[in-house]
Amino acid sequence: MKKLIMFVLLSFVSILANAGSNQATEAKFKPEEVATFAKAVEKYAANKGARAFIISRVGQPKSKLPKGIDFTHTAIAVYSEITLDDGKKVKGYAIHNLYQDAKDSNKSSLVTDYPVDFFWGVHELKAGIVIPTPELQQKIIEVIASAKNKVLHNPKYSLIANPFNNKYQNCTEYTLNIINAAIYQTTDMKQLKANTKAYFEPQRVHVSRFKLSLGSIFADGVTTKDHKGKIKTTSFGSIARYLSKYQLMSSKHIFKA
Amino acid sequence: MKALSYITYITVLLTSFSTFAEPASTHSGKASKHSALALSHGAAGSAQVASAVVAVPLIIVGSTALSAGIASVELGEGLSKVATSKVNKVKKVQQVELEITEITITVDRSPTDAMKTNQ
Repeated sequence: MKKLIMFVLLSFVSILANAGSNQATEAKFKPEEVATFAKAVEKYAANKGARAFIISRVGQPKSKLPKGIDFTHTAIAVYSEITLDDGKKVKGYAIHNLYQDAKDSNKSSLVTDYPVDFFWGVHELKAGIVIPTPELQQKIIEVIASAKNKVLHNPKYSLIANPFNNKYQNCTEYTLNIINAAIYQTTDMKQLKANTKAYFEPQRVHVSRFKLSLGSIFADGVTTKDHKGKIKTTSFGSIARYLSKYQLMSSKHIFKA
Repeated sequence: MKALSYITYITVLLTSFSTFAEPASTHSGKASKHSALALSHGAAGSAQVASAVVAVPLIIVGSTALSAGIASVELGEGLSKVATSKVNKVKKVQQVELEITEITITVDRSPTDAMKTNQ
């Protein structure tokens, strides 16, 4: 029986290690380290002329992440005019996120934050950056500037959401929805999911169905109800491969402190 | 009875794991983040920290300035149609370096904290 308990516990740890769409609180690095890193990421993207790019962070040790998943949270950074609390207007990147709710893990909210907020609680000072082509950047900005991204949000959260349907959603699937809404110039979810199924190759989650079923039972924010067969979800890597395959990516970079 | 104890034990442990991955924050957490940043910047005597009230996406509004090597951007609010028509005319967008503020920007403080500051 003790062995069974250990097995269940270890299984669970590996399932939840993939989780990462939370607004981080406690910094693992010194505030100045996070601030310096966040500003360096901004300047890197600005130097590349990126007006919109896909940004990812690492919230867990690599050893805890399932094979093929290198980042735990993904969002879209948009070059913006930011009004500060003293009324001053400055230029920088605002990050458009889907975050798992703090009080209800089965739900998510759309939150705009800034690079230092984004990297605040990371495990490693490392950022995944995918810069789409300028034409796609422009269309992504239009989706966000016109608030059409809100239509693409499903607040029912699952860590391993299936990108081929809209039953549940995680941060990366929401990011993919924005990208596809920009590409196809539509917010019609049926159309977007049909196109996703036709062209997007999601990331296989290398965790057994048994373990994931346990996760469904015991943990909030994890369900397999939207899946049939092998568990596949959206990841930073699968988005990068998708954009690259269809010549919609200008560059990809792993930025480290 | 022993089995029931084990199951209860497992359930309690697993439930507690469900939020360990990246703890979610509340608005009060953001306030402490702002303070920590302000203190660290103050100690280092470096760039200032500020809270953001609102961010408006900037969009490209033409190809002429871009080809001259200077980023031409305009507020995205309400300009979607204009931007679309302009973007269609852009054949090749050159890479240009964008201006980035040296200020460390963070999300706005909690209503409680903001009220304390304003008093």
